[in-house]
Amino acid sequence: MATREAGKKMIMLKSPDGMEFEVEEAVAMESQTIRKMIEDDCADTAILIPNINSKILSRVIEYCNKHVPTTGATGAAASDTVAPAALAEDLKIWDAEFIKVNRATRFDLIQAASYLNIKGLLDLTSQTTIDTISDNSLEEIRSFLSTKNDYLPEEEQTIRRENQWAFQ
Amino acid sequence: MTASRRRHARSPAVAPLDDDDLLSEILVRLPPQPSSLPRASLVCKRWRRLVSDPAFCRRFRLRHRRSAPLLGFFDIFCNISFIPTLEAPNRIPPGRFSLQLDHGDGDFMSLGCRHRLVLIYLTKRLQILAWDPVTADQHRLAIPPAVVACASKTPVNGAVLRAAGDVQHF
Repeated sequence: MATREAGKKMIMLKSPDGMEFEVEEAVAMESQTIRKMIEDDCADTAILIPNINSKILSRVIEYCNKHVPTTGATGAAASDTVAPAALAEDLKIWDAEFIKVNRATRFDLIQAASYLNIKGLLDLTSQTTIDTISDNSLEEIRSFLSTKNDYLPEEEQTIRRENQWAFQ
Repeated sequence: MTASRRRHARSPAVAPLDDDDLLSEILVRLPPQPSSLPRASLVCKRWRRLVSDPAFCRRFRLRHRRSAPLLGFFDIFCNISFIPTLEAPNRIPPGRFSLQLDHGDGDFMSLGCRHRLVLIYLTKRLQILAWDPVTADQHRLAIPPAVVACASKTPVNGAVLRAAGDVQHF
């Protein structure tokens, strides 16, 4: 980790498996849940993040670090001179790499993004899931998402008949 | 760590999909094509329940309002019949949006289409009809006599607007 700039307030995040992560307050406040805790003065020296293990929490912090406004993740002043469009493009490429994870990790990230209320991360993880399934057949979707078809054959037929055009 | 906290440590593979709110959060990102939700409802009963929920439908519409596909258009020279423009499986059959008029309504003409409503002039009844093709709701208004008097001398037009917000009624 690069040198920490003086004057930046740090927050300690703890995962239920006992790991501690020291992050800049601004980075932690990418999470609306944590922001509220800090603003309401509920954040003491450390914030315990329930249900999010250290592996996932570290990925979430990685995401927030990259997405926090005005940050130079590289620590360089170069970000001041880069056009916003180029920065957005850079973030998109970074996001695409970031989300190349297995299904279980992605689902954990969705859950973490939802609990911590990090809109960008929830968008990225949920949209990636939809993109993965939207061109698949019903059978493939069920199998990918471990969902069981609980329709009786006649029930399925009725639903198909209601909007027959959608299944052509 | 307490036992109760450990109980919350979920199996990662299926957890978000077991939570209705999270699954809705994912499903609301389905593409705005008309076949998306009917197809999703066929995955299982729970999916059907979620995507049929009025609050979900509102969110889905709101989310896609800027990227909604053009389903088709109404041919005002041919009984305001619906002409679909998308390809299967998103091609909505013309009969899905067909205007049902009473026998005594007589001739009619379209005055325009906006905010998911079609405005129709019933020339024999001297009524204005606002029609929602999606819900098939119709709302009729008598044309004020002063406007009728003018209409014999000069062309009269009209426009339909839906009230701001996500209202579903006239």
